[in-house]
Amino acid sequence: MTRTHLLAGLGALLLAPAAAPAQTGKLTAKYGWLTDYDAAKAEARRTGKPIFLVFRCEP
Amino acid sequence: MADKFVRVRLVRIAGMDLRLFDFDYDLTWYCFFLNADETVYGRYGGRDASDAQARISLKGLRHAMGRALEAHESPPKPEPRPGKPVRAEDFAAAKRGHRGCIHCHNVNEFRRADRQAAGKWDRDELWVYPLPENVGLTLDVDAGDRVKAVRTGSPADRAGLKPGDRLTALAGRPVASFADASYALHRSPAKGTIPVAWERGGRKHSAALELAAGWRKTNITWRPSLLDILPAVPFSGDDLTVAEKKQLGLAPDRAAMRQDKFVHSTLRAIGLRQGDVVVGFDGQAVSGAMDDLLGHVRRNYLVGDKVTVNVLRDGKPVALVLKLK
Repeated sequence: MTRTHLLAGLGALLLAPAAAPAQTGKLTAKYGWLTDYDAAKAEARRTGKPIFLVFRCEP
Repeated sequence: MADKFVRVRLVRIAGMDLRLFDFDYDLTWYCFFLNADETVYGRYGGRDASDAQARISLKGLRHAMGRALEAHESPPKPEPRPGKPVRAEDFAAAKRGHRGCIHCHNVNEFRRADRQAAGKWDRDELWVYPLPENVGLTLDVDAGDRVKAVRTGSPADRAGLKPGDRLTALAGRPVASFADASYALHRSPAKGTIPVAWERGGRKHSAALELAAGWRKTNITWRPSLLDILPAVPFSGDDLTVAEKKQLGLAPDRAAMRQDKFVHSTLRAIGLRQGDVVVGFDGQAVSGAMDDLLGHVRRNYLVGDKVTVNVLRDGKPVALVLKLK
């Protein structure tokens, strides 16, 4: 993957960042991404997994 | 590898405790690795003035994720967070007049506005998130704890770091990425020393890294939170050729530009004319081209500062005083 396409790649990894919020939320859930920090902490405590938290500013 | 994490994606900074999620708010993408007890293992993201993608890669992200999983095997205790939670919406500037969604970069603007209102803001606070290069280190984009280069004579060089070393900690904070290193430097003093630790050939090393006055200075012109205080430099024209510079007695690598016929009203008001050759500001010459010359003003002055524009007019020096807007 070229550097030019890197943010696109990260976008794909983190699911359609340019999509409308409702659409993004659906895609986020579909691919196993939570959208609530407290829910993520609870899930991390239940599973013993670490949290991978992404801040993505959507203009 | 992603399945080994609970993944959460947040598009709003409001409501989050900024004592924990203390990061480079000028970025539009940044991530944390932490556990349910809010022990932060690492960070990933960051950029520089050259390009929004210059410091990140998918390989580098995987590398940082791997280091976070290693740290999760025996996590340290979370850092204490004294006081009450700090939230973006709690800044007085946010309450005063902000409309709509709070963007991450707004946090910096709110913080600066509150500190300015309290008379506590200092312009040295501009120098946030210094680059590892500021101490002489270039880190591998694809493995953010791998030293790619060390500038000769730099603090990192004097501390004994060499290309190929694995940087393990900076200022007492573990490093697995550019973001980790930049955050550790961000939390470091304006002058003094910080500890640095690294591994080479399986052996651990440590030393003190010297931070001289001014070490934090970085090109900050890309930062959206500074748009209102970085000055406009409305000069327009062309670079002088090497022959033209020679005729005026200027070094071939010195930045010099000839103002064209479109003299901006603010420049006309201070006496700048078409054909004037701008050769520096406040008596300081700049190497490179016109962009470097004008960029020098954006990197070193703020709105409201006065700067002397050094001009050659018909070969003779003229000094014009400009209040930057």
